[in-house]
Amino acid sequence: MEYILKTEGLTKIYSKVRVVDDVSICIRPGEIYGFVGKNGAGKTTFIRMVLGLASCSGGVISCFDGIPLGKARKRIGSLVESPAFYPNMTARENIRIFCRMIGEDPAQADEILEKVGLADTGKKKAGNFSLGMKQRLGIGIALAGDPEFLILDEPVNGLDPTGIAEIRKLILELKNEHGKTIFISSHLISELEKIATRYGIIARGRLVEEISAQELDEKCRNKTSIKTDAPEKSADIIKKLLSTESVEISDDGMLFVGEKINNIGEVTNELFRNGITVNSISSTASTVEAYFIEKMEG
Amino acid sequence: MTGLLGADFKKLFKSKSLYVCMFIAAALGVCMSLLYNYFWQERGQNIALWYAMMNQYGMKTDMLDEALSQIPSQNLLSYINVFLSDGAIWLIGAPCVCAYSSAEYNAGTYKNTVARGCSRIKLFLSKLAAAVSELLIISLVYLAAGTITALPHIELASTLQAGEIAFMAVIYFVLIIASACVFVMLSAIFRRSGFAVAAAIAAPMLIASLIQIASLASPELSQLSGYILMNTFVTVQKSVISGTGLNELLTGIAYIAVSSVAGGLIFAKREVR
Repeated sequence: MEYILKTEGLTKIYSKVRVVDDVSICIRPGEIYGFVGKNGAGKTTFIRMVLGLASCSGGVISCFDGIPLGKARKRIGSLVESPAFYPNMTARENIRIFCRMIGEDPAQADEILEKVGLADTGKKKAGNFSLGMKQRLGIGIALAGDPEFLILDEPVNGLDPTGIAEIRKLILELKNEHGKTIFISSHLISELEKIATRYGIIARGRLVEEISAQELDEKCRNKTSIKTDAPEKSADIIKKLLSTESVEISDDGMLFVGEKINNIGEVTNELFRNGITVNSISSTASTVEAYFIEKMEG
Repeated sequence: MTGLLGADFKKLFKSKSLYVCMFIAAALGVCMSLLYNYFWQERGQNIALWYAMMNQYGMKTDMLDEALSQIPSQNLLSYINVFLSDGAIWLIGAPCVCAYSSAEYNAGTYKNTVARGCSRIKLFLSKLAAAVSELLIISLVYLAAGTITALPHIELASTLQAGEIAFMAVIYFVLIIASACVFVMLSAIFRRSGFAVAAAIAAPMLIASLIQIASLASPELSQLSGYILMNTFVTVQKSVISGTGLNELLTGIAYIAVSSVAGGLIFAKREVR
């Protein structure tokens, strides 16, 4: 299969305001796609359009290599905004009744409860659950029918650190052992960083950037920036001295060495020996969080 | 569809509001039966007084005789007609059905099923079927409680033919279904049980008032009040006896058609929260 979800120019306009503006993404099988954005950036509206809960003002949605959306959505499990369930029923009854409604076998309820850590809730009504338990129930409902693709909107909201770790473990297990593709929108960049294989950053309704986890890691790695009076010659010397190809020259002539240089003195001496004047030298490092914040603010 | 129906009926029978409304319907049925019996007894005493007074003053009793002959006698069928037309079914049914049909909107559970590709029309029709069943149950409970309480005081025989009785039953059945359809449509419009109940109870009164005001200018408009669904319950027996019961039947069918289609379209087109 080429893609699980593809959107082209997806747009949503409410009262002349473009809350989602021309968003095009492509999620491939087996990915964990982290969708990152500030409050009000358009993440949930995007998800609602993909799931058919809201109409699209423009653009195209296709799933599973273009099969009809009605059929495609039967293969998508979701948790959108807050978890929705019947408060006067137990967790087991909620999952069983949902299975019945979507034409799936209600017998899988026990296995699902085990997976999300609600197997011991017994006869407790879901309306009396804690916030974390309700969140787990919402994830459990999303897992009903063993969908291939999961869309989770803030799945760890309200969970304690243990709960967050358990859900993270569950998500990784679903991906690695069951081959599921997962789309997660979250504010918790530190959590996404541990599991996502690719990211989409959305700000003010627009997709600012799509980046793989590997690319993100390279961009945030420790770097050294050097300003000289002969950037190209300096780049050649540094590449040879440090045995690295990771040297870039920016438009304003600043050199960026894609790693931290431990022996700055050796580098400056070598440059001086070749008649190059070093104007400035500094070491920079960016965290993933800072990177995202910069993109989201931009 | 069978899965949806099974689930909706399970939710119905698990909801507390159904049993609360059934209890209220039963209690009200008993009370109303006792009250109707009291008024009937008192009516009998009043009639005797009227005759005595008219005879004392030498007045003719022809008109009184004719008026009294129009009033059905105190038999089982009369009681059933009174119970079905006194508005109690509407007043108990509206909160119960609106609470049940709005529960999914309140809980947000429609997003689970719609997002999973369930047909919105099927979801609506399934909910409608369960809501109709709910109102029929409440109506039967009210009717049963009232008539059982009345049995010691009334005669079982009726002057109506079996065919007329069957026709009346069909009309009432259709009108109850129509009422449920209206309540479900209002739930789809307002998506909150409180608003839907308020609209269900206030709308007939408001429309009746507007028709009365309009009929001040144009008297023939007063006939429109006969098409207010709540009012059609009142005129069923009289219409069947006079051979015009078809009006009420067609009114009920029209309400079923319009409210089902309108409610279904609204549910299908609006965003799911």
